[in-house]
Amino acid sequence: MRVWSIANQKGGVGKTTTAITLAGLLSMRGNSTLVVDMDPHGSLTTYAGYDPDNIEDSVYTLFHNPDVMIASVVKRTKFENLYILPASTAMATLDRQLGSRDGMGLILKRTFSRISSRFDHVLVDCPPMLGVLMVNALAACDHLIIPVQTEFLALKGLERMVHTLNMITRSMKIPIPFTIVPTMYDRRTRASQQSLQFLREQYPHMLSEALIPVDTQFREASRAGVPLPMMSPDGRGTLAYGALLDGLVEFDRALQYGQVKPHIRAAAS
Amino acid sequence: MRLHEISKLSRPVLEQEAALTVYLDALLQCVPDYDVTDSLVVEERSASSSVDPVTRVADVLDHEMRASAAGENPAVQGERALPGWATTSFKILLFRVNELTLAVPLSELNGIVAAPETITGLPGGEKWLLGLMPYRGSSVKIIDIAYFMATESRHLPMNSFSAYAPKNIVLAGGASWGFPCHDVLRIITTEPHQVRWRSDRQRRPWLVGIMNDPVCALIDVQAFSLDSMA
Ligand SMILES: Nc1ncnc2c1ncn2[C@@H]1O[C@H](COP(=O)(O)OP(=O)(O)OP(=O)(O)O)[C@@H](O)[C@H]1O
Ligand SMILES: [Mg+2]
Repeated sequence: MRVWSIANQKGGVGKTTTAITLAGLLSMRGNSTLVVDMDPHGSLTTYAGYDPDNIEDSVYTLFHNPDVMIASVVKRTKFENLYILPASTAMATLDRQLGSRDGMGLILKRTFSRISSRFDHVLVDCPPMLGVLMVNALAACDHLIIPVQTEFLALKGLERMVHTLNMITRSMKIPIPFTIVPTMYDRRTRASQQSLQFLREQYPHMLSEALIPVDTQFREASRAGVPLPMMSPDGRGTLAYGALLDGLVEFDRALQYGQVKPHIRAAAS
Repeated sequence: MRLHEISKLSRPVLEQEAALTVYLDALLQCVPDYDVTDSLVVEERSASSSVDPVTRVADVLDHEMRASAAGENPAVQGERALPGWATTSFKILLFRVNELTLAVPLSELNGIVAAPETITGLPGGEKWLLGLMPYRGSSVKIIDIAYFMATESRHLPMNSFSAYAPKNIVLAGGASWGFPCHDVLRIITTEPHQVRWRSDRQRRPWLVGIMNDPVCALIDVQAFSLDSMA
């Protein structure tokens, strides 16, 4: 089982879209795939057809009772091979309730060790702020995906995210390999082109080759509650995420077999 | 970044960094099953620390206090005045070295960094120095805190950096000094009256005071720079 977390402290950069689109592709390719919604807003949960304001078992349950039966928290979706560990709004209180308790950052990691034979892939969608939920997602992943919107403000957010990652790496004493994914790229705008150029210069070894273009279909897919690859298998957005997935799988395989030293990718500065 | 630039880093920024480190260290505390080499390191570490290198802090400190009980008046009457940061309420970072809990005022803190595997030895240097660690173009002197805490009857300094196997280095005093650290604990706010200030600082001049709740030894970083560390 491979765990990829999708995080960026900046909001609205395409985290949830990346999680659901990659998960859609993975499940269509025959992988048993679990998406985990760590965001109390529950966009991913809503996307999958559940109501984060009215859900009995969720990530919240898991944090209060880490030994809960996994089968009761993981839910089916309308799509074959695609499962969700949903969010509930009450997760917003977890930081206050448990945030400073020792070892609380490793709950998700432990949960995953219990289900490692059940799923091929886990994708974890993070909230756009640092807290116990994001720390759990980072500590639990084999590979971190950082979507970055190709515009100037977003680059500052990326710097912050990389800094957070370095601090977590320091506390855990193991590096977390990461890949930066440029999103909402519009090659007609100077801002998109210039920020891509900046990313290429600053993070040459951590940048994915695939770019995610602006595509209005993402919003429609989200409204319909269907991952874009299922709604539009040949759409621009689907093809772009397909290319991204190929690159991620290849890199991940190299990581797994020790062909890439994680610190090479993880050494940020 | 060079030393003179470090001192320019604003206090609030350093304080926030320290707060974040404390938060993350607590969240990620129980190091789980990563891989075999990791667990070996952990085992090795617990084996080496099972030889208690530091006499329990409370014992040493109480002894110290009793010895200097004559000058119990907390006013400034020893050889050294209280440091400037100690006049009003101040924040301290608590960290653990073996069983010893130390505290540095945040106003003296310059950061917390991951400990390197090794440091450069200092043959012929002060006995209480473990060696030098490069940091942003300068050298940080790493202090063998166990050396100071050892009593005459039980002289067991850790002596080598590898014997400490620290997780972090706590940088202080303009990043001139580094303390090996096994755990960053937390940041608390303290009032001067909560500290038993040492009036006679002939021995361990850096140990400016002791707190009871939590029990910890408060460090005056400047004292390391001043003169001999008898
Ligand atoms: N490549 C794209 N082209 C066009 N629109 C996109 C693209 N990616 C995402 N969007 C849209 O942008 C909005 C924000 O995306 P998304 O919800 O994935 O971001 P997020 O990082 O998860 O946000 P948050 O931080 O609030 O969780 C959504 O309306 C989504 O449909
Ligand atoms: Mg989202």
